[in-house]
Amino acid sequence: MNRPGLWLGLALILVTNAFVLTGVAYNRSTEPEAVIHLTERELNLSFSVEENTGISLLLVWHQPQSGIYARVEGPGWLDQAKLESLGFDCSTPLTDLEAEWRYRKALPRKAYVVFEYEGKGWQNLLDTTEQNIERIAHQIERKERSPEVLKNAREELDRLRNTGSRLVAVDAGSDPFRLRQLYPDRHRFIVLPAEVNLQYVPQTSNKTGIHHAYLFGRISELPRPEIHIPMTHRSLLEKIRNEEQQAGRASRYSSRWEKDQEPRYSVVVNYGKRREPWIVDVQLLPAPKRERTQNKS
Amino acid sequence: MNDSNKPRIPLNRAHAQQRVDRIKAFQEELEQLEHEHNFALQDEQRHQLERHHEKILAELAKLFDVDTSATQKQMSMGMRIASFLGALALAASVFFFFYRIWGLISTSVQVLILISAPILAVLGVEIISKREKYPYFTSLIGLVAFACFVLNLSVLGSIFNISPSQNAFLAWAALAMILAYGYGLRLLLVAGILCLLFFLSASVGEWGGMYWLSFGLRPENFLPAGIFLFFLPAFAAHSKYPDFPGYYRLFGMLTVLIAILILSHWGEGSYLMLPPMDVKVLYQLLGFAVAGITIWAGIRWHWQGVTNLGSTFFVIQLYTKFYDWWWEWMPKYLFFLVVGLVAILLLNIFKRLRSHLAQASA
Repeated sequence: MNRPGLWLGLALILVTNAFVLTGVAYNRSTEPEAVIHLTERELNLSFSVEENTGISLLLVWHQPQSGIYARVEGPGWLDQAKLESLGFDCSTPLTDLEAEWRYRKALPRKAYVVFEYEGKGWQNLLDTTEQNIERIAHQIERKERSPEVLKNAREELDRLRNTGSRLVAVDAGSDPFRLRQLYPDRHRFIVLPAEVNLQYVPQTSNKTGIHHAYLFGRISELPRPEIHIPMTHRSLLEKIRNEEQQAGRASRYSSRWEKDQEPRYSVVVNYGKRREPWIVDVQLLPAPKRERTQNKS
Repeated sequence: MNDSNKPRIPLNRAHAQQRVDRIKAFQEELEQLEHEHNFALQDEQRHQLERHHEKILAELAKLFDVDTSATQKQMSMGMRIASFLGALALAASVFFFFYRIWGLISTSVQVLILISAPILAVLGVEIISKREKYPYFTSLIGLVAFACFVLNLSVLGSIFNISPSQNAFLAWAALAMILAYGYGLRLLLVAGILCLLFFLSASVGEWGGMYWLSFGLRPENFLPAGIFLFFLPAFAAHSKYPDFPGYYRLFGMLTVLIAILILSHWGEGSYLMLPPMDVKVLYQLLGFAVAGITIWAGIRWHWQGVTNLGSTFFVIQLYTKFYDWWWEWMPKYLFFLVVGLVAILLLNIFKRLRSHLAQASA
């Protein structure tokens, strides 16, 4: 063993691993940045393939409501001013002829997003969905839409209310500590890094009048949307997954429970100093509630 | 010729193989001369020459395991291909095996396996390299060591839910380069160059204000990295591995040319705040200019791979533009006729260029 390459290679492997594990220890040292109790509604069992024995949970959350397909018109809270505060260049007037291609070239930026669990954000989401249903009902009266649309919207509201994720993005900023000061409840708000995209909605006109162009932000996927389940907490989730596989319900992409079925487990997740999560506990939710749901379906 | 004069031994296998090839060419040419012109060396001279060559060939074969015949060369190529395919298969096997078992073992055992796997593989590289002169098996185990290290960091990231970072590419590049330069492994050099390319491009993207995971949205992020890799050999001597600089130049220029090719068709993907059509035209012109410079540089400094790359890119750029301009509205027979005529025109240009170069070198 006389080659410098050998020693350099071994040193590199050891130093890199030491660096990574020190980062993990730092993340989990002292008090967690946030401790949050979620259920299967917010943490779906991630899809599994036959030759992968690992289990992970996928964090499910809601975007701020905005954009042309949104339930409410307009940019929502992730508007132009908020985008500017995140570092996006919004200096081109929206009426400028070059505005469309200039804003379509805007690059995604890293930001910190506040997710609220079962709070005002969740209530606002339900309210706006209800308003959307009322709007559709009026449109049906005016024979602008078919009754099928209203039926689908009502079913969507039911799903949202009974089994949908209650985790909603409510604010964003470039300084995570400032956001934590604004949202101090560490059991209800989590501050996570995310990628934000700028979207441009051009001016449109219809029977109701002219709708001016506006900008809004869209939160892309989180850098690490899945949370790994360590061996110590996997027995319950493994049992659920196996049951689903035996019942033939697990799809290729997700072993997510049926959309109208109530959640089967609750999870306690800690977020550390580097805002990286780890699972603290996984519990089975009370059976009677689940059985009732199954009978209903 | 004096037998006591010891032949000058090359520094490495590449140089040794070049010497063997020169000797073989000389012997063939001498035979041809004797046949065509009734030219012959005196017996004594012939014997001295033959003994000298035999001695050199034997020594080079012993020291560097060089190919001293056409059959051996073909066999070596087959072995290199087998080594490459074997390395890929073993690397894939390591990945799938770990994913098969990781859910069944505790976190501490997972971490232990992940760290020890690349360490054991690197030790394996050292042991095997001592047993062979040409690194067929060393290259194979070297790639497995690299794959183990990639698995090591990526799975640690999953187990502890660590936010991904482009720095992982730097660590992977470092290990690949250490193994490539430590043991003369070209496959690992390519892996190292690619990892370095990703690290540099992602870093450029981050400096440009974007989130690093989206660095592919701007092909221009790859330009500085490609240029850096292309010029790197000019600042670092490679006397031990004279074929390594070619890989840097080839992958560096390939990166630059691909980025330009993409931007010449996708103006929206540029940092330049110009209308997309203007960006496309700009990069089309730049593409032809860079391809021309690449061909010139390849000829000027005798970099055959670079010349071929420039020519290929020039033709691709030209034909993709023809497709964009004419495919929709031109009858197909006319389109292919134009393409064929342009090929004939290009052949003529290259022919003239070739004869100019021949005259200049004469």
